[in-house]
Amino acid sequence: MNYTVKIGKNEYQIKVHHNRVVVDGEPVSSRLIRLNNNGLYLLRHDDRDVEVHIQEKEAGGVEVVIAGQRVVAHVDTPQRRERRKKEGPQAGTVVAPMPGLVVSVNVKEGEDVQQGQVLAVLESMKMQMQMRAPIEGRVTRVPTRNGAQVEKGALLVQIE
Amino acid sequence: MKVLVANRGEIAIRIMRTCREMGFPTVAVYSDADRIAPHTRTADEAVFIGEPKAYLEIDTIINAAKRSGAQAVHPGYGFLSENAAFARAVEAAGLIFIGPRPETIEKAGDKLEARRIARDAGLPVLPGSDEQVPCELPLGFADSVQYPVLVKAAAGGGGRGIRLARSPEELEMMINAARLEACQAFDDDTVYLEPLIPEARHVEVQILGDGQGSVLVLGERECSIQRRRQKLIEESPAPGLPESTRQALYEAALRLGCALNYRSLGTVEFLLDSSGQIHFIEINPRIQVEHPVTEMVTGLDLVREQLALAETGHLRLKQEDIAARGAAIEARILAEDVEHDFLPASGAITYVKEPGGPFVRVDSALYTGMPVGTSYDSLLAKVIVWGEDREAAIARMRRVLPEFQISGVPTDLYFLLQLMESPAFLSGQFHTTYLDSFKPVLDPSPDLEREAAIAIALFAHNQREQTLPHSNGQSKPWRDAAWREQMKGML
Repeated sequence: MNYTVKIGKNEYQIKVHHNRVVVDGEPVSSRLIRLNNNGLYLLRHDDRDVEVHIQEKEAGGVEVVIAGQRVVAHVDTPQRRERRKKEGPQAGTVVAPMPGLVVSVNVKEGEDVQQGQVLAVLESMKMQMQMRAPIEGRVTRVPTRNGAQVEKGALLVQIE
Repeated sequence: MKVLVANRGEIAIRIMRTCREMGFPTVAVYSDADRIAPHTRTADEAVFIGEPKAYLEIDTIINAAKRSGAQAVHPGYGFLSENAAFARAVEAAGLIFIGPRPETIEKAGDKLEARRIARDAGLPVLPGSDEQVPCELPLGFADSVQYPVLVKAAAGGGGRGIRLARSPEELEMMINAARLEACQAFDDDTVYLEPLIPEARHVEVQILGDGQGSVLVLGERECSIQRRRQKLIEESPAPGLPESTRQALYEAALRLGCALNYRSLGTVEFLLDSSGQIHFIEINPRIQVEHPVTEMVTGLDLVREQLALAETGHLRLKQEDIAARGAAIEARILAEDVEHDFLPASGAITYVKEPGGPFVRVDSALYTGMPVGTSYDSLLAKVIVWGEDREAAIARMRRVLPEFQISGVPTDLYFLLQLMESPAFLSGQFHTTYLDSFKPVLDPSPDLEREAAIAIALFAHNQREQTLPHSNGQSKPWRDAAWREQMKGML
C-alpha cells in the first residue's frame, strides 16, 4: 500500500507491504508497537526505540508527538487524493482565527471598507486581536455582534 | 487554619500542596468550566461557585469561604489577587487575607500612585508625568511628548492595556486602544505615558515583609524573555548582573517595601537600561507565576512563609537566613499555535507525559482529557530546573523540554527549546524586545520529521488493515478457538 504523508511543505512517499517499509525509495526496518489503547506506540527501528503518541484528526489529519515536538500531518492514499477537490479560501471572507469573544464590531452591512481597515476586535485568553479587511470592498454580511462568543472559523465579516 | 484558595489551575494546586504539608485543610472553589479540574480534587473540600467568571466575584468567594468555615483566603495570582476591595471584604468577614494589606494593594494597583510613593522613597523612577492622560487631549499634547512612548493603563497588570506609540500621529489611536483594553480588563480607562527604554532588561526583586517594619529581600529574577509583554522564561540570578547593580536593586526594593510597611510576598519590578541604570516600574502585591525560580535558588517555600506569617503574624526568617545557590530557570508551557502567530489554541489534551529527573519541577494542572478552552489563560504548565550554575541549568532545561510530551493542542515547547539554544539566550545578552526579532524554525528537524512520517504511514496502514475485511473474505474460526483456549481461566 502506498501512502503520501504531508508534513508542512514536505511530502514523503511511503510504501508499506507486510513488514517491509520503503520511504522515498529507501527501505527501512521500522515497525510500530502498540503500548496502550490511547494512542501510545513504540516506533522500533533496528537499534533504537522511540516513543510516539499518534492520534487521528478530522479529514485525514494525524497528530504525532515525538521527543517533545508535535507534528500534524496529512496522510493520503492515491484513491483518497483523486476524490479530493481543492478549494481556496475566498478573498473577502474574514473568519475568527481562534475561538473567542467579539469585543467590538466596527462595520455595518453596506459599508465600504479599505484594505487593512479594522473590522472587528476579537479577544481570546488575555489577548486582543484586530481583524482587518483583507481587501477593499463593500461589507455584505456581518453575522456577529458585540459580546458574541465565536468558534474558530466562524464568519465575522464578508466583503465583496 | 483552614485555607480557601480563590484560584484555579497550577497555582491553586501549588498552594494547596504547601497547605497540606503544613497540616492546613484546604477548600477549592470551582466554576462550571472546572467541574472536573484537578485543583478541585486536590483540596479537602470544594465549593461550586457558578459561571466561569465567578472567580472574579468577591461576594461569591466570600460566601464560599464562610460556608466552608475557612479561616483564611489565599488569592493566588490573577483573578482577585490584586483587588483591594476583595482583600478588604475578606478581612471584613473576619478572615485572614494571605497577602498584603488592602491599602497596599490599592496603592500598588494604581501605577501612578505607586510611582509617586517610589519616587518619595528615593527610588529611581522612569521620567514622565505622574498625571494621567486627560480625556480630551489638549491642543499640541501629542507634539509635546517624546517618542517612542508607552501608553499604559494605570490599573494595568499582566501586560494588559499597554500600547506603543512611535509618533504624534499614532498617539491618539494608541491611547484609545489602551483605554478600550483597560476598560474591558480593569473597568478603569485611566492611562499614563511612560518613555520607552530601548534595549532594556526586566529584572524584578522578590520581597517578603511582616507588615511590622521588617522586610526581607529574597533575590532577583530576570524576566526579559517576553512576548506581547507576557513573560515566557524567567531565571534567577539575573545573568551578568554587576554586583553593584544587584545591590542597588535590592536596596531600592527594600526601601519601597519599608515605605509601604509591606506585608507578605511582593515583587518590585525594574527596567535596567543599556547603561546599567535601574528604573522602578511597578510593584506586584501577590505571589508571581515565576516565584518557583526564587524557591529553587533559595531553597525556601515562599507559600509556606506566606502561610506561616498569616497564621502567626511573624516571619520565621531573617535576612541572614537567606542565601541563593546555583541558578534556576522557568519555562512557561502555553497552549498556543507558534505557526499561526502564537494564537491561543483550544482543544483537548489527549496525552501528557511530564518530564522528571534531578532538580526538575513541573507545576501544572494537566491531565489527559483536559479541555483547553478560552475561558482562562493559556498556561498549561511551568517547568522549572535548577543547576549549580546557569550553564548547567540551561543544559538541564534542554534535556527536559523534549521529555515533555503533550498531545491534542499545539504548544510552545519546541519554540522554548529553540530559545534555550539561541546564542543570545546562551550568552545572557538579551532585552525585553528579543522575541520581536527571534524567528523560530517552525519545521521539526529533518530526522524527526522523517521518523514522524514513518510512524504515520505505519499507523495509517494499521488502521486500514483493521477496518478491512480479510482479503479472502473468510473468517478464521480456528483462530478464535485457539485464543479462547489460551485465555481459559483468565476470562
